[in-house]
Amino acid sequence: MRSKSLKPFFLLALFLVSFGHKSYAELEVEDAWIRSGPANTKTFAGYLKLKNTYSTEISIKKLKSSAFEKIEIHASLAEDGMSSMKKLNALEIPANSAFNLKPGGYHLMLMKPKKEIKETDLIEFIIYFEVEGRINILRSDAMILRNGYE
Amino acid sequence: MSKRNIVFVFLVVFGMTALFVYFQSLPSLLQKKPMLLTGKILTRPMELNNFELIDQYNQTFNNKSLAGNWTIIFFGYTNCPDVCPTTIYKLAEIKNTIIEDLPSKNFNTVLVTLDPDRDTPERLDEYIGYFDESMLGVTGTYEDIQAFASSLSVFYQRINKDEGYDFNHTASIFVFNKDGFLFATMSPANPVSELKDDFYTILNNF
Repeated sequence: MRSKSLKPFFLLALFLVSFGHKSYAELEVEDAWIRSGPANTKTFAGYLKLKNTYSTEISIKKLKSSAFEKIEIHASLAEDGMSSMKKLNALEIPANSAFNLKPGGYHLMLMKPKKEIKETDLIEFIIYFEVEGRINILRSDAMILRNGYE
Repeated sequence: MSKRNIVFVFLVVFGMTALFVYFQSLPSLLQKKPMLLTGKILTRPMELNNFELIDQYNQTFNNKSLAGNWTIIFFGYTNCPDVCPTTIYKLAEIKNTIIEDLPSKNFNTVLVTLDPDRDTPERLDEYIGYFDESMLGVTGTYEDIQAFASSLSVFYQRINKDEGYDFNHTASIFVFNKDGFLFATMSPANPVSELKDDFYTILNNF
């Protein structure tokens, strides 16, 4: 009788514990920014910090933003004293690892802005990434416009 | 052989040996220049072939433009959204720190475009004016840019894409002394702190 009356409380406690603790894996994004440029800039470079908390590798397949016509993932390479740029079809992030897109390395190419972007804007974007054969979606509206080299 | 002759022969042999040792050790004496973290100082500063380019204010940029100040030159193009602005910001920060610290050792920074088709003086003015007004942006005819680049052993290659084109190019930055001679080369991909240390090494020692 006694144990029966406590059952709802146990269930509630279990629910709260599972809700309060992040027991699920995800892709996290931090510090997303676009380097500001002069008027009439057609292509911007974008940078962000990614964290894969899944226990498997994930693959970033595509990015989209309503502010740009097209987004590509590129890598600036400095090999044998030569500077070059390479377009990537996907970006793999190993299990439980962080990956930074930063100036002079891996970066986003945000092409053909649909309207003028201001320093006060928060730019939304969507990341499509594959986890064990399934495409997941991450939405963010926290990409800002700023300048700098890091 | 008289005693006098022996002394004479001895002096000649001694003198020649001294000269030989001096010239043998000359290269290594010259190499005792300070080491750089991000590049190297040339054994002997190199004079450039004559060149004639034009800056964003439509002023001539030639050998004479390099004389009198330390100058840093790097190659790029304004349609490059990642590496070029990154290098401009890095050099601007280094320059601002040094101007404050060593006001007597001012130096100029120059971007030479590899893309004269798109990078007209007006376009360079717009671009450089946004990132660092104190920098010079230099363009010219295709042939003049190619000649200038090859005098510094700079290789570049146009890479056509679906939309537009990019360039692969030698990544170095080039440091010229007050005589306008090539003095050192550095790799701008290195951290600002190390590049800054190298500029201090050069400006404090020469």
